[in-house]
Amino acid sequence: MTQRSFPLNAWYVAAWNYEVKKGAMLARTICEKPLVFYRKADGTAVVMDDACWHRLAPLSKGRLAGDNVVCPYHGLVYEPGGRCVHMPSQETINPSAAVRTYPLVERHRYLWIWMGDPALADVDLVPDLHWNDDPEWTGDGTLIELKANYLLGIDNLMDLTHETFVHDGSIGNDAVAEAPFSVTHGERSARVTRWILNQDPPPFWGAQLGVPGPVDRWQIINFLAPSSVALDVGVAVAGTGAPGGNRSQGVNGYIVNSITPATETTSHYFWSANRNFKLGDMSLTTAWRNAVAGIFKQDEDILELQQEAIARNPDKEFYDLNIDAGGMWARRKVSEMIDAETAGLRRVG
Amino acid sequence: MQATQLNTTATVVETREIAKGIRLLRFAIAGDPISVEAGAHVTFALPHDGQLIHRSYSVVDDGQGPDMLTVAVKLEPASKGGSAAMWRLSVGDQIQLTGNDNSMPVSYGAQTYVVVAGGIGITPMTGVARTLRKTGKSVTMHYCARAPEEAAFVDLMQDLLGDDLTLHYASAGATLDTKALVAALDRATILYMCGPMGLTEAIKSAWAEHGLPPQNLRYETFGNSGTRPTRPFTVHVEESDRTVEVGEGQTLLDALLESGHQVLSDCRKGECGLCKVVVHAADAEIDHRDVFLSDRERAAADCLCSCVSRLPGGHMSIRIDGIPHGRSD
Repeated sequence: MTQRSFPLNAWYVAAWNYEVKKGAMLARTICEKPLVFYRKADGTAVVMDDACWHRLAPLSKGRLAGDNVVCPYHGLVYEPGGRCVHMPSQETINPSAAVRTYPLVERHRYLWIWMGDPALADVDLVPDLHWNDDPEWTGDGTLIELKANYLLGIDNLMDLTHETFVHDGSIGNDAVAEAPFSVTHGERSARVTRWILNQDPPPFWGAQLGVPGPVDRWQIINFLAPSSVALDVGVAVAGTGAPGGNRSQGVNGYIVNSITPATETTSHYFWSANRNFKLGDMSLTTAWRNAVAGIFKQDEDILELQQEAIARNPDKEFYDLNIDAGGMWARRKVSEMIDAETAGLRRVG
Repeated sequence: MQATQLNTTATVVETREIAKGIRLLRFAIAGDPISVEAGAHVTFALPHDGQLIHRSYSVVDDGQGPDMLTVAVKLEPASKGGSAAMWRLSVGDQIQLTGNDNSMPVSYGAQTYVVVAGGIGITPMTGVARTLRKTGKSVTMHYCARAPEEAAFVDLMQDLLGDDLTLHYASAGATLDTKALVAALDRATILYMCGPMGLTEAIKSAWAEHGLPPQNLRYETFGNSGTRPTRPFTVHVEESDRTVEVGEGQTLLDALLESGHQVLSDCRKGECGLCKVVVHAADAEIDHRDVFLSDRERAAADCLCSCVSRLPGGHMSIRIDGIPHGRSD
């Protein structure tokens, strides 16, 4: 049996809050499960398996009747709890007729779903991505439908050495690949910290700072198992104390990433680019989103090529370099979660 | 829920009678771990008369041995061979697990839950009550049994629920007042139940009477407990002009199939209605043990679900083809 690469007992970003609307259904596969999302009249989001109990027709191709879903094939009706409340041509309803529903919570502009044991779905375990809706920060983002395993995306974020090669001319320059970094890890987390001191900034950061001359640049990569990465990035005028905590002469961004497994080879990559300066400058929000979208398109291209290469080289495995330490800690945290939930006979629920 | 097919060996590691007529069986499972939800059941392939028969039993969650699979089996004197075969197992015996399914997945959307178990119907409720309690929801449970010596897992449930568990022993005259129970519920409460026909029918009708949302009443059927005694009876089949005897430990459906008649069936627990046959005349009142026919359809007494329903002795004449389906109202 091939081991799945993702834990189920975890909160995953299922959608941006604005993607799930009243009166419309959104079909999306998460952790290999086809799901359908919509909102009830009172605004509460609902999710259930996107396969009718009867003949597995996709409910997302049916219609909403009030808060209920009507199957497109034979008209079975499901209430938001997944229980069938109407069957054609019979006077009673089969007590077994139900489709599965999943815990869903709305936080930090996202809808988070728990695919594993619902009894363990503690909302306090939702990763803290407050930069998305904290009044001291502003920004926006979008969703990439990535044709690669989510861990390849995590690897990509955990080692920013690649910026020098993949993102040359925007955020990458030679200084990144050669600057030293340190790696720490916690129970469900890992962190890579890299300071690039007294160097010329790459074009994007130089423009943000608006002050000529060398900078102290930081990249603090915070991994929150199993699939979120909050990048604390910025530059400050060199020698003004940023490494010691004084960022007053600098500019700071938090690039918030959550890469949700769709299948073993595809992912929903949610990201947002946030900043804590010029909060009222909407054009700057657009500029940041466009800049990061352009940078992430370069990542998307290399990750998809990597996934294709993995498929073409089934006899080969990965080798690791010291630059992979952050990604390896992240993968170890994920493995620990998977091992914990598959140890012995697992009782889901 | 669609069943997961399994082909796994289960080895008996413990077996003991935990209440009068109820035997606990604990198994070690070979190979990959299986995932067993609250309220789920597993299906075993059991040797019976030189063949394998497939029987499903709800999984018991006693909070122990998470790497073990535990079931509790009531010995049914008139069983189709399943419970007797399970009772014959001893430590070290190996049997095949062929399926894993859940007819009653727990929904966590409500804040208040009521759990009702009758007799051996306690088995799926051990997991349902435990998992709901684990999430911090309000859970009250009513457990009905004929007498204290026939009630399994009482200590277990008391440890779990404390004062939120009420025991109802018929021997002590303390039967559950289903009408009062349902009348006291609000519309958002979800009730899970598993038990004999009389109990579930009483709660279903009280539920309808109070106009509570049908989706908040969740139950699982056994299909082997009716309101009348289980006795042999005979049927005359119009199409073949033959008379078939239905034994005490046999269903009408099996008697028809074994005598070479063609009848459709699927769920075999009185839920889907595919095994319905037409009754022309019966010299006893039909013991409807299904949940497919409505009260009105039952009152018409012109059909029955042959997988579970029967006559309490006597004779009836039936038709097995040209079966009318659909609403009659």
